[in-house]
Amino acid sequence: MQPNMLILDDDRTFARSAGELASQEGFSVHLAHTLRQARESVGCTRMDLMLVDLGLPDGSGMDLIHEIDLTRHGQIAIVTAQPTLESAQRAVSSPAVEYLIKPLHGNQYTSLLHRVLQRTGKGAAPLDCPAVRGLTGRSAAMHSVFRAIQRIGPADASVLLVGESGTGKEVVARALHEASGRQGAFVAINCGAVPAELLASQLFGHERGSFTGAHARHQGVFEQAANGTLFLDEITEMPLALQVYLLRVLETGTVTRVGGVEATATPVRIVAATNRDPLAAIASGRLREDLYYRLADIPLNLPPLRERGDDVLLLAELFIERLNERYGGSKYLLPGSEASLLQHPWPGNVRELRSAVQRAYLLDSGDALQVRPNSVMAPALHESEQAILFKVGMSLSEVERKVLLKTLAHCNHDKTAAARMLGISVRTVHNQLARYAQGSSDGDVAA
Amino acid sequence: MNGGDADAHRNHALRNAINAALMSAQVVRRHLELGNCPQALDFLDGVDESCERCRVLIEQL
Repeated sequence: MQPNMLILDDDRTFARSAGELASQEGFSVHLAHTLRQARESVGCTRMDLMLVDLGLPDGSGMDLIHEIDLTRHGQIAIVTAQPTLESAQRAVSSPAVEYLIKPLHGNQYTSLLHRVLQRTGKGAAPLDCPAVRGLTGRSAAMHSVFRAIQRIGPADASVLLVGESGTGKEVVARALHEASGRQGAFVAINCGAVPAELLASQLFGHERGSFTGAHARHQGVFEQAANGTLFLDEITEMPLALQVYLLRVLETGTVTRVGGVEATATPVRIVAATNRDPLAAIASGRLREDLYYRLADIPLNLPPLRERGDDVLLLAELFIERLNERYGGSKYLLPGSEASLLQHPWPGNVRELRSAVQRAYLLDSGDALQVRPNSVMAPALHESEQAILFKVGMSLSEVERKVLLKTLAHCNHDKTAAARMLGISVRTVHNQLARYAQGSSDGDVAA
Repeated sequence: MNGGDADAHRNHALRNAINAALMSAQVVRRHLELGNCPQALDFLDGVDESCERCRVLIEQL
């Protein structure tokens, strides 16, 4: 059901443009340039939002506000180029009346529309497509992603998702799976989070007794995702030797478990992802070129949040709405705080925004939330290829583990190079990895 | 209309004109993002018209 909106303004250019934006947001818009026209509209339609100018050819918009039953209609916003004490007093006397002074700045207007949509719950979904559940956006960049998901979802082609951390690669992978209609499961594995020694077993499975600690036969993610979708995250972190085997699995459509001899057919759709430039990864020797072409039947770039325009505000309001549902609150984005959200570069993308909203929600005492980006508050709290984040109180063994795995990844899993860089022997590297592997088979490391 | 009234009137008109230009520009941007060039051009006329109003008002200062 569409929310109704009245725009009463004798500036026809403004009224038409404001109406166009509101229509795009899902409102059914009634334009009026005189009091008489406005009275006709509100007489027969309940308005969820009224934008009311004061200086009109046949009277003041204030007359209309005095006449109508405020309980019958929703929000009223007085929008005036001639602020007066009387109109301002009228506005503050009722929570249903907002007071905006022309010219409206930045996203003041679209923010008002979003708030009303949020309160009424009548807003149209950004895109009416079940395949993109979990993805929100109205920007042109995200509409391209939505269209791509709808087009390529049902195909068998492999997809390579390229995007910065926090841009929603796994969410898009799940959407592709849902759009595929495949009966099997969606299974995800982060190739950068599993020690190299364990990755083969996690991917392809192993037979009992195939290596120390292999107490039972283990089904790899390829088999778990049979007739479904396998999401290989951080594919460029996979050791090159495994990339060769992965390519063979993809070419033959069969998997042989570690320590096994029997090949099992694996009808799996592959969606891989990386936050690196894949061509640069090929050039630096991190990614095999032949595997890239096998994985990237369809490459799909996910836009960073800073290139998604007003989606920042849309997402912030969505996260607040979810938190309101969870905690039974009625908090909202502080009017006027939109500009700072739009200007921030959001290096952590949607993940950073969600975290900033949650922090504001839980820590701010009032209902109007001032969302402050994480990276402004804590610019150093950012892991990257060249940096590791250590927290106070972290165990020394965990510090050692992080340094070793990150250095190995940096050296393309060349243990000799990593040992040299760390000033330890290659044997120590081997011993440590064996210890991590043992810990993992005991349930230490999540796949 | 005395000087004070004329200034207030001009201020009011200028605020309206700038407001219309900004709102029309937002619509143009939205249509361009969606690849709707004819609609963008249509609302660009609104930006032109509002800016022309601003120009006339500023020349009266």
